[in-house]
Amino acid sequence: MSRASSPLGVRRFLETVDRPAILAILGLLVVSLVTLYSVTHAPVPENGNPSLEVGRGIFWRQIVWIGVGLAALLIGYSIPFRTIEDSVWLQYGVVLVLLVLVLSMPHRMGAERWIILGPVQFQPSEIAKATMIFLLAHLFARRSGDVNQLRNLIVPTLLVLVPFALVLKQPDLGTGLVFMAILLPMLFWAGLEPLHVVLLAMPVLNLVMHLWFMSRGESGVWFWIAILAGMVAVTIWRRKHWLENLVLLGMNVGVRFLASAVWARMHDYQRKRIETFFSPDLDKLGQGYHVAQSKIAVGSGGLLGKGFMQGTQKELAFLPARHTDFIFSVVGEEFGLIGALIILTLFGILLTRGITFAARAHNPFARHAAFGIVAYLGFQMTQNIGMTVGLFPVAGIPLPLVSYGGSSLAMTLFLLGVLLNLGRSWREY
Amino acid sequence: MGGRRSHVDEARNARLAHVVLAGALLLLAGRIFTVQVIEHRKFLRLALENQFKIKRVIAPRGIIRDRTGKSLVDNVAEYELWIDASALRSDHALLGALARDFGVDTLAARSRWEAQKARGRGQGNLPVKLLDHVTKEQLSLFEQNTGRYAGADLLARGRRRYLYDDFATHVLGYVGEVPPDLVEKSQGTRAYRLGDFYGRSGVEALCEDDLRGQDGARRVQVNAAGQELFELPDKADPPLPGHDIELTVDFDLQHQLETQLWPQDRAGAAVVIDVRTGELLAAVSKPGYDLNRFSVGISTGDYEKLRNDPLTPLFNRYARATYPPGSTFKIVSSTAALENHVVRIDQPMGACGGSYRVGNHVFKCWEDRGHGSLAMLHAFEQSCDVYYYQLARPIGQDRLADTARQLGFGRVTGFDLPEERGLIPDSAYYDRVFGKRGWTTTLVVNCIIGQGEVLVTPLQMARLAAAVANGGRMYKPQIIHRVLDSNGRVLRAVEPVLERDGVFPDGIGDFLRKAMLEVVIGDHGTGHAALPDSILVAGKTGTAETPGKIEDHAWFVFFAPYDDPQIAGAIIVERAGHGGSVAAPIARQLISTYFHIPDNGPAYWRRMAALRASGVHIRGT
Repeated sequence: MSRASSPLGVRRFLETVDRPAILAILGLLVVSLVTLYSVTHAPVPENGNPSLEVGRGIFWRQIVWIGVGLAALLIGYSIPFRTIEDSVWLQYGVVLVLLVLVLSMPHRMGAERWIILGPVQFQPSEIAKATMIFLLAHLFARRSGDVNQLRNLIVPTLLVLVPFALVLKQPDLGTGLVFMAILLPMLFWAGLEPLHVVLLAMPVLNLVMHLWFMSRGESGVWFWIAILAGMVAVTIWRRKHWLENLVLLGMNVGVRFLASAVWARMHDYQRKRIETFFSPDLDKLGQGYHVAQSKIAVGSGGLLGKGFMQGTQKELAFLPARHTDFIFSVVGEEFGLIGALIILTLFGILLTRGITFAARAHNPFARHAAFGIVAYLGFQMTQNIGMTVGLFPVAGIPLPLVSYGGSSLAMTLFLLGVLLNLGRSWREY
Repeated sequence: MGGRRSHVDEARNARLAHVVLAGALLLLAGRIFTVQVIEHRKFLRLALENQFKIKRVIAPRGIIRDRTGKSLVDNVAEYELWIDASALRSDHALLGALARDFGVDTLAARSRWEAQKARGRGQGNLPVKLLDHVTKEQLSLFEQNTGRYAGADLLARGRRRYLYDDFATHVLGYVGEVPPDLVEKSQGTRAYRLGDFYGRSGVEALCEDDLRGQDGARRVQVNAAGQELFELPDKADPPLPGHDIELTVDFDLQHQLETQLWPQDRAGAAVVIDVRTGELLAAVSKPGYDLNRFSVGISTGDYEKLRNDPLTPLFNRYARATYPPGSTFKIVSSTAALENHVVRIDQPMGACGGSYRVGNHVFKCWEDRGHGSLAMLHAFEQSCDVYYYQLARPIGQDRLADTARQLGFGRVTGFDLPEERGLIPDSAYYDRVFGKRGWTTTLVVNCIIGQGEVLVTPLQMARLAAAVANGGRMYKPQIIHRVLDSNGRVLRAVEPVLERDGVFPDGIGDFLRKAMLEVVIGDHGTGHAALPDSILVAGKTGTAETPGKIEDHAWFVFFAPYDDPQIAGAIIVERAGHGGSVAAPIARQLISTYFHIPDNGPAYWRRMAALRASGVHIRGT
């Protein structure tokens, strides 16, 4: 840590860091600042509603947070990752305590997920995600045994399910999904066969499809039977993992009844949300408003965009959450397809480098931790951008590095520091 | 430092991870390409629409004027409070603010919206009216805090103002909210919306299509909260104001009739017709009620009070009330007798001793002392019942009915507002009601003096008087004089519609005119009270008996001036006594008003004395 904060540490960082990855990170941070500047500084039409403006302070605060985040990146880069690995159980314990604590915090933004300590506010679920990555990496590194065997899956799954349940109770479905999006790829990286990843994802897919059918007032029983039949067929064909497949089959059966029971107990507005997710065009001014407006903003941007600070949807505040979850829509509106492709390219470079780091590290913990970080960021990026163009549901997940958001940005940069460190020191272990 | 597990193909997994990443990026890029390039035009259009909101501008309803152009009904600026459907559905902060600051019943608004939504596709997206009337204080509160009420809107609409409250109630009619089924039926640019007003009765309803105009629109730039930023003048679609309606009614005449001339607390009706065109110069139904109470939405309690008023102010008496005509019907009886040659004009009938016996039934003359033996002119002048009783059976029920129908009774007049036919009984009618052979010819004895089953409307009676005056022409009674656009350009002007000509056979019309003059100026005439200074009036009194011990209905039908008839009319005052003493003076005063001569009370004796002194024989031939 002392190295990181010294000029020597910075110089050492610059000499040793992976150039494409750090340039991609800095590039995304520049995109974030440019976009936030446009959101906060574009001239507001006369007689506009002040309550709809995003304050200029947001831009300046983001600069401060980027400074804090870069420091966190240096810290992540400098900590020997063994230090992290050695304390995973302590981290896990602290995170569980925080997640329980946050349930008692007052509501904010409709979900109880912030801990407020005077001027500092943070979401324990942000820390929980990082800890989850480290803990799983630790488990997969230390334990021998084929993860394709059910008994070897039980411990990691249970360890994820506890914080997952606490997060769902907040309620924060988006973060819950992130946990799943961390667990499955890390299992894959630990040796779970791709087919098994697909099979494990089946209950989730089944759940989503069942909700879709119910929102349309259909039973969807044929889809369900087809999935079950497919799983039975795969099991018989492969003649192994009978127990695992039986459990998965049971989960697929159970999910349907669970979903029906939950649907029956839902409030109308909750059902509406699900219906809106599946067909946002039905209700442009209600629940589907965000997505519809976001698509309008992106679509009206066209090939080259309307130009810096020229976006009309953002300017007149048609675009909700345009500095946070929907910041990609602003990029799409003002910089068009070119701007969108630049963001995708930067993420592509960063994540490809991440996969390479994960693949070449000698240390098992390093391999798994690096892949977990890549999976985490990759899922967030895909989900967030997919959401702004109506491909995925609105889940309250920000675009890493680009969205405004203090503690989340700092956490992301910290994890990227760790990732860069793992990429640098692959030969050292 | 756990070793690598041999069964994991790490190189393959790394490749697979790269492939999945590339796949995800391609999926996103493809979707973004679709939205930004392929569907670009669609979203660009949506983006433009996003910024503009079309706001409805309600067309001002046409003005209703009298025949001289005097305004009777206009509009006063009024603001209604409406709310966007989406805000009503989900903006609880706004609903709370509206409930607190404007006393809006949000639950009622919500159920109104639910009902509207249930009416079909797209209805659920239309705005909903919250308040009919926004006060001045509320108006300024709203305008100073538009940010707080974004999603709600003030809509300017002219509230209907009836300048003379209960004037010409049953001509003008009132407006009310459009019922849902009409909203559903209406289509296109002239579609009604829930919460709109439309004419529900009278001329307001009759001329709805002219009066309502066509709503326009303003296009304004709005922000995401729906707040207006500025208006786009080049995109404005101004409303087309409704057409103005000029009635045939003469305000001074009708107003005088309704107020000064009308006996207090009496129900009744009066119709004054221009005998040359059939235009109604006055159409009075008393009592009326204040039409303004309907234009702000009358309360159920107030409406019930009107409905249960024993004098039935909601009832249009001049066209829809059917009364026994009493002796005014002798115009019809005389015509029937003469055209069927039952009696000659100069042929005296058996002497009137005050009553007339048919079998063991005694019919009384109104004059107990009797009139002696009279020919038709004086029998008409003195309204001798016994003279007519004697003609009844020779004419017969059916021939009397034929004549009555020919003179416009028992049938509609063609009037544009709702009217009744009345009743002219014939033998078929009695067969139906009493059974064949269940009735005798004595019934016609009652009918011939306008009693029994005979029922007529004041409008029919006035038209008969007009036909006597103009030589037998029956015009359609008209209430609309002209239709003008908002710039005063005449769009349509009423043309007289001659429905039938020559309703009186040769000589009979002339006789009736003379006979009606005799009623007013004859030595024994019953209508002396109708004679004003300097104009000759002809008329016929009637005193219609009503069942029970209550007072009779007082009738008077008339035309004037005798030499050059211009106006004719009928007046009935319910339960007021004799036509000659109650209704005839009203006729005199209204004639004085119309012809702008001073009214100095009944002029008969003064004028007779003056005429006799000058040696002029005024009886005519």
